Amino acid sequence: MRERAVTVRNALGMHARAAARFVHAAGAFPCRVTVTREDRADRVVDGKSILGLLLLAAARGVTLRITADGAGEEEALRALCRLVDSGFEEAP
Amino acid sequence: MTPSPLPVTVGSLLRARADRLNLGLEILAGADGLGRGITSPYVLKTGLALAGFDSYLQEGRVLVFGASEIGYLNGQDPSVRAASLARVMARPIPCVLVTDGLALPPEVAAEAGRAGVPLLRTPVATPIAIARLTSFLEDVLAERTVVHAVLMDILGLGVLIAGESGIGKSECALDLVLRGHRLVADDTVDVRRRAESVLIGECPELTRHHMEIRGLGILNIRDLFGVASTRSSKRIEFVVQLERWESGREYERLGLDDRFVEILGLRVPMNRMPVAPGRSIANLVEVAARNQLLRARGHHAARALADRLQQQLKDGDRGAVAEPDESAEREGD
Repeated sequence: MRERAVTVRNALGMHARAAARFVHAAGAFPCRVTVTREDRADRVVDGKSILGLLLLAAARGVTLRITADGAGEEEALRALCRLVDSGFEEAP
Repeated sequence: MTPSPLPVTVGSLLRARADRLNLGLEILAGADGLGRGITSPYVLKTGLALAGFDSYLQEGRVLVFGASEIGYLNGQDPSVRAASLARVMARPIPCVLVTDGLALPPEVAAEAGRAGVPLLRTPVATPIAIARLTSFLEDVLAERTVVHAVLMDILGLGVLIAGESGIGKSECALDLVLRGHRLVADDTVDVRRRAESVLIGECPELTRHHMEIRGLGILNIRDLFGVASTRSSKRIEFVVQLERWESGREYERLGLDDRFVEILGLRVPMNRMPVAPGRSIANLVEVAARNQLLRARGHHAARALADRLQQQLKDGDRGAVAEPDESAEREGD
């Protein structure tokens, strides 16, 4: 199991389309992915579920803690952190 | 996961919204102590503590002064009254709650203020005030966790459908909704333990009544199927664990043994359900729920059949014919 923290940078935060991109990226890996907000650690959501990610309501500046467990965990973490870090591949 | 409940402070009683506590509390003294923690939902009636017998006073419980306590204090000499109050206030109690809007002798507020124990008063009658306070505290002090699963109300039974992501939990839930069963939560279920023995599952406010289905996107189930198709919380009484079918693995064929899964320290009956093409999961889950309803009422189909078989095997030793036995038993049912 590996864990990494990444901060949401884009202006709109993790909105619905961004969450869908995250779920799509997470779904490409066989490992289990969970996400939590650093400031609200009690709410742990499934990184492959849209509704779960929407519940985080992660606005710009929020630090997310992504955990991957299982096959391909390192690659999954790298890809997901890159996605969040890049502002969900949106034009700034 | 939050294993231990956060302590609730006396200040949070004062801040509680009227629809949750509804005691109309006022603070008379001891505002310094609003940060004191309440750790038990059950109150203490002061009673004999005022007469000097205070060893039963437990830490973290709200102390209640009703008509009998105030009446006792009023009958005492003021100096004795101050001394007995000082002794009680020195105990590790979070606060004192005066019920029924009772008028107090001046020593109560004075001693509470000196000890830094918040003195609260409600106009609500003693038994009702205690019931409301206990119910509120049970709720806020309940142990909580989050489960990744779908929670459905199937024929009145709260069924948690669990399994890895992509196995078809939401599709199964949608099938069940189409059959008239009710959705509680898709994907994220907030679970709390109430009154030591009851698990309540609830949908977080933001995603309430919603579901996500691959190919359809996010759906509002209540708008699509009407108010009776969803509910916001439900007691969890049964778990169906969906699993990928693996050839060579042993699956339950008899259903003789009861299996359980532990949630917040409570054992919930559980049924493992292998998923494979050609198996209608919603059908299977609904039948599993029906079977669980029967089991909960003491009708265990697998065991009843096994018992009948046992009887026949025994009779067989003596060369008895099975047929008449069986029909007699059927009439007996």
